[in-house]
Amino acid sequence: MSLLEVSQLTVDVQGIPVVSDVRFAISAGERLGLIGESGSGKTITALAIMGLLPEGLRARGSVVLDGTELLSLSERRLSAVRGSRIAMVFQEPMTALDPLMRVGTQITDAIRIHERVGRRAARDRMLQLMPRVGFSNPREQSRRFPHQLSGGQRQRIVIAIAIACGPALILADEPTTALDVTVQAQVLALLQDLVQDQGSALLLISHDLAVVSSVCQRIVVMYGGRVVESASTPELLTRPRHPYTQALLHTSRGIGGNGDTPAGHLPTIPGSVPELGRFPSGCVFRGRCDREQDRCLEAPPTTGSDHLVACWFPLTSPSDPTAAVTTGGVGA
Amino acid sequence: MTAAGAIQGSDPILQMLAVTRRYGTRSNPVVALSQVSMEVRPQDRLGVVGESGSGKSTLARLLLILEDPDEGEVRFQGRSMSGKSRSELAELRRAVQIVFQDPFSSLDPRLRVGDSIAEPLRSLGIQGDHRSRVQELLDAVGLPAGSARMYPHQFSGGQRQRVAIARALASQPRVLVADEAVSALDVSVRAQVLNLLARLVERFGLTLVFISHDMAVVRHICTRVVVLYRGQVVEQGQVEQVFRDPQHPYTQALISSVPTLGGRIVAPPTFDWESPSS
Repeated sequence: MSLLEVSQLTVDVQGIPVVSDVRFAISAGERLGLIGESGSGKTITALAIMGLLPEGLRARGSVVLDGTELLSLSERRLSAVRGSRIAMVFQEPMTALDPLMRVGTQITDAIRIHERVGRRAARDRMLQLMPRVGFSNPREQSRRFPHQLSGGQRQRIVIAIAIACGPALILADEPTTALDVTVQAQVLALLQDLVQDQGSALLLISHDLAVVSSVCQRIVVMYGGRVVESASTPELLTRPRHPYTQALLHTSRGIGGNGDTPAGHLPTIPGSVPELGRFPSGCVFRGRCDREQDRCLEAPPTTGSDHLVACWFPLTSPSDPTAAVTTGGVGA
Repeated sequence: MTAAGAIQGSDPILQMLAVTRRYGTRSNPVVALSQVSMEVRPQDRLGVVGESGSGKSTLARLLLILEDPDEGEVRFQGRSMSGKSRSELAELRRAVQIVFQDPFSSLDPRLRVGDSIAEPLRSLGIQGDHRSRVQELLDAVGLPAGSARMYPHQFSGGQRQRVAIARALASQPRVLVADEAVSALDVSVRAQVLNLLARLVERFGLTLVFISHDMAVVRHICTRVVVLYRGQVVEQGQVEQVFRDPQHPYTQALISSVPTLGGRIVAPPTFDWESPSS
């Protein structure tokens, strides 16, 4: 049984669907990646799951965590779920942390909000947590304020808060996008180790296919507010079925290769990502797709079981020339 | 430098000699660049990589002589640019142009795109038919002729970056400095703009200084690379050589940290990552 089951999730902004009929599931302990560019609806999906949509937006459909429907939960009950059962890590740790409070206190408070423990016991747990997120001197470092820490250190404090109550699911939305690449690697490695250690599931949301495919076992690809494809990571990388996924892979491989694609000859996707509400009717990738036909004026159904694709003319493997692209040697 | 043989006889266009730049106050200086020496030679496609706070953008401003070094000197075509007057800098202003990360902040939202592109022609006192020059430039960056009458907000991010590139090319520069020029673009659009840059560099014989935090993009587009760490050049050389066999521990950490498709996340050795100033 799935830990989290999202089905038919739809969110409208002033009548324009920004997320349409999104469905995916996460098993306990699984690491799932949600990938998309701007306007793909990935962040709105995350906020809808957490019940944190901006004012005026409402989610329809269903988000079930451990058998509990979250979309119909009262704010009071939802608050209890957030932090204890699902925790989140966002892109900018400075907005998640209180600038006027010592970081240790913020971790201690997070524990005390969700669990009935005394101040001293919570503080002891905080002092045990900090070394787990890479702070070697917790007594001293817990007394710092957020501005006294680097971006990577702040994000590790946010991660400490996220894991404090042993949540079943950690939802991380672009957690390393604002960080330098060496710090990104540290934070991703840490996140991966922690969820593995305590058996939490991870929903990692990112625009970066390399990041998601390195951390996650399965990947959901979103474009224009819809899930266009989902599969296990190795399957998606070697046998993409949606033309958009394939184009993303070609572009990423061209840039991330061993300098073997001559400058000026990167594979590209024609056009640009439409603005919100400007995505075409029918298939959302229409107009940028090289496999487009008349039928694509109608929205394609989602087909497949383990490997889902929403396309009238999906790539077929393995005779397809695209399947010849291997994953080996990329950027190594 | 190992590359010396390959480009013999080509004197540097731009040179930094032991340049130090400090910000902050006299009693509490922040050293943005320290004793940096590097050069940009004709037809170079030079990558400048480093993380936040490494001094990349300071280096760009000094190369463009938008500010002066505290120590050392910046030379343009062999001549020191220290203490030059505005008119003496005019040649450099025409010859060295820049494209920034965010075209929204580099283009005036109230100006028609055609006027933005022609602006350097006017301010640098370049004679000629500006209107037809704008059309040439729009064509060069792959935008339709009618774009000249439109405003920046009517374009997508990738198109706005094309406008910024057209503007930078208006004065027929020899050197194009791209400061994180594709970093804000969506993956599917980034490749288009990178291809455009590479083709323009070839077509106009431009020298490119490509400043970026993105190692993969630098490897793709550049021939030479300078690695900055905390205001110092820790390594420089041919791109392929630096990527295949990085010598400095920081360069090694930087390269091993780049995530790859289906790769594994490898946390680099703790390279000062505990330090709050990093």
